[in-house]
Amino acid sequence: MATQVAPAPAASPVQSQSSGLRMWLTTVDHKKIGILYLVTTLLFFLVGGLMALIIRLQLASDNGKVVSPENYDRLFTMHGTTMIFLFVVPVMAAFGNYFVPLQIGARDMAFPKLNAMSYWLFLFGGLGMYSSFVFGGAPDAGWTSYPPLSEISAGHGIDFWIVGLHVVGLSSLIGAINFICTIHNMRAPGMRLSRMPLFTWTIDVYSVMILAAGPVLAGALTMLLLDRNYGTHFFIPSQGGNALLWQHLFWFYSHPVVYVMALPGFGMISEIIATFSRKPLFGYKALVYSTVAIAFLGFLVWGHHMFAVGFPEPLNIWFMLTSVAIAVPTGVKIFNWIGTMWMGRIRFEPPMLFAVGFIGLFLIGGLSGILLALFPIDQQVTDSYFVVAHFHYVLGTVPVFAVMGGLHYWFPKMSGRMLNRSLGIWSFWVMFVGFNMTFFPMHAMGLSGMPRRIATYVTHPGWVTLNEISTLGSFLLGAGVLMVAWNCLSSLRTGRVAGNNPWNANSLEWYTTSPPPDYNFDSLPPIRSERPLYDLRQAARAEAGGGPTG
Amino acid sequence: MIRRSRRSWTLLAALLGSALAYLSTAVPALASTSQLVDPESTNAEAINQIYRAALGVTITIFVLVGGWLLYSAIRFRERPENADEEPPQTHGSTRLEIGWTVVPILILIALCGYTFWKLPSVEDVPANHINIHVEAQQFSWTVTYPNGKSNPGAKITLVAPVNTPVELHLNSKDVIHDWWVPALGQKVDAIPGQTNHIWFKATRTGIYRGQCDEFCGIGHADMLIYVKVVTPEAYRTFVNGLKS
Repeated sequence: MATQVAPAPAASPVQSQSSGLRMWLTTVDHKKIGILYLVTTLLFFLVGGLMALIIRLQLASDNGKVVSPENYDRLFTMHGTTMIFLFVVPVMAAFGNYFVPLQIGARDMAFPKLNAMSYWLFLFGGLGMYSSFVFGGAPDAGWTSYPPLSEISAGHGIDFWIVGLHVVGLSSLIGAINFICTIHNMRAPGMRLSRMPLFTWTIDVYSVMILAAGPVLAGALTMLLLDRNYGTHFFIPSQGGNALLWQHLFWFYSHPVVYVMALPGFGMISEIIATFSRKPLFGYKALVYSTVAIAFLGFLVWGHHMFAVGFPEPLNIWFMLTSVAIAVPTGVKIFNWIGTMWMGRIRFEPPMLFAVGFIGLFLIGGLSGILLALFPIDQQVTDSYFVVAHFHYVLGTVPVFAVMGGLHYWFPKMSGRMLNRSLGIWSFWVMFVGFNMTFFPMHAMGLSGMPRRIATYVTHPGWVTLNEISTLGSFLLGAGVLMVAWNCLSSLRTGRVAGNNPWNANSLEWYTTSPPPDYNFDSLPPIRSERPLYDLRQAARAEAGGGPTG
Repeated sequence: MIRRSRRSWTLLAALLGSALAYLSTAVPALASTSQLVDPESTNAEAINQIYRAALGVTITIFVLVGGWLLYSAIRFRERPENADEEPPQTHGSTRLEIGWTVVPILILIALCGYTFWKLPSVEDVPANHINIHVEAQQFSWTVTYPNGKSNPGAKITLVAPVNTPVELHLNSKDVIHDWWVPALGQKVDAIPGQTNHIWFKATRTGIYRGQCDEFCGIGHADMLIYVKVVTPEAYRTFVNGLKS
């Protein structure tokens, strides 16, 4: 077995957590805020998932009558909005909050009170949006809210949506500034940028992207709010406005957001693959550069969401070329991950299963993305279920596999206890099969002409069977999510005590106790590479005069 | 340690089992992804050719990369006999990394090149086409034929002659809609304040189904399109018989 590195002298292995309500309401500790973010976002995930299951029930047969078209429109609007703005983007802030200061050897975030503020803004923004179900009729124009439809939508659902997004957006802007200040100013001695763990790197890039894109969405939302309530007509063509202006602004924000969601997921996967292959990352620098390249290219491709609006051909060609270009750095990532596994001694603990599953499924989403970037194909299948399949293979894999992998990986650090291993493995396989059953048939639905966002469909050869498979799969996926939830809840009490470093990982968060005490570290090891704990074990081994065993 | 080896076999069995279960459910799905809806128009056929070429390339990549991933996962899993031994600590290989940056670039250039080559047969409207105007509104289509007449409220949205290029000019009265008849090629949005154009040249008579493809409100699912492709003589008779 590996040489046991002397633990940092700190509190007892499982720290007794005071769980007073007052403590949670007033905390400015980055770890407690991280937990608040995590619990809140996972609850939003369950709500968003529940809405997806109702959608799937409605579509399980032709002429579905589970919900009315009005409610169906609200459901898919809030499913998309919830998953993107209230789950996947902020869940990265949850892990970022908890682990960025730990990974760089800092005591806390740069601005702890601002950090608390961004959490509470997020919570109230999200709840405010949901309160529309009670007060004003929920938003019903899709998570993209294209005008003029969103202009003429009755009731105040869209207004709640706009104001809620403004508040959530402010929260993520504040969070981004905090992350950037923390990462660039508070690294421990020796923790150069070139030695930072990949997850921290991706959170850095995530924050820069939010800062660059967020204000554009805020501007567009404000224009829509003014149009709806105060007589302006930015997006109303009959009064001199332009309906496509919204799409340009919206996608200028929302395409980079795809990478805002995906990149930290890539960061988690990079950490997990290296840890369980027991090797350093293959091509650390290439992984960092490709992250930056994806972020940069991500700002040049928004028009590929608009290939059907009647662009002049040169514009279509430009957006096709920039979009396929993203495949190159993405490919580099996948190859470097497999390169990391190559010749390793891979331990298939649950986090590693999720990571390998993620790579395989993300590959499918990436490749269907190439098909969609070739605009004649996109003009055939955009806004059909083919696109729904594509973006769930890209963005659904991030929460279901990367985030779940990260959760299984870091749960011992956050709680001090291990998750149940066999339940973890079972939940992976249930989710893996469920995910593919849900989303793979959607490719075929789209190719055979099924548009997205339709509340019902008339009988059409093949559609019923495909939709039945998909609905069945979605419930399996839901069952897998519940298994993970059960695993987390029950392991909090009964899980095996984890110790500082149950996976023999090499970044600094594993140096301190699980969970870490206030202010994280009493002392830090010397940081001379991107794997300080590996160096420490090597040094201990050399001192003991041991042979080259792991 | 023996426990660990048994675990990896269980893992393999689970992997194979779920792959089989998955494939059996995916057969109907897989069978119909090999091409687009049977193309019945020359532009749709060109799109279908691009799709099949790109699909061939991407499936090949999927099999190679996915196979490499699966092989690495199984081949390099920890076994009882090597669990204590540290694997080689390689940090990367510039030559390999340049390789797997350049090769994808070449593949993508080839794919884009093929798309460019096919582009004229997707985009360019043949000469001597007939022009038909389509106005969308929540939740119906109004088609105006070249003689200025239309047929509002009919079950058949559009009647078109076979083997004749038809260019549609679309706009919208209220919100954004989208005209999509899969067998007749690409879609285009109908947007208030601007006119968009698509064309088709149907190769067979028959009725082709489509529907609005841009979410346009509660009636979105009911905004169907039926295009009836008839002989040129039947088309002329139909258009001349229109009242309004």
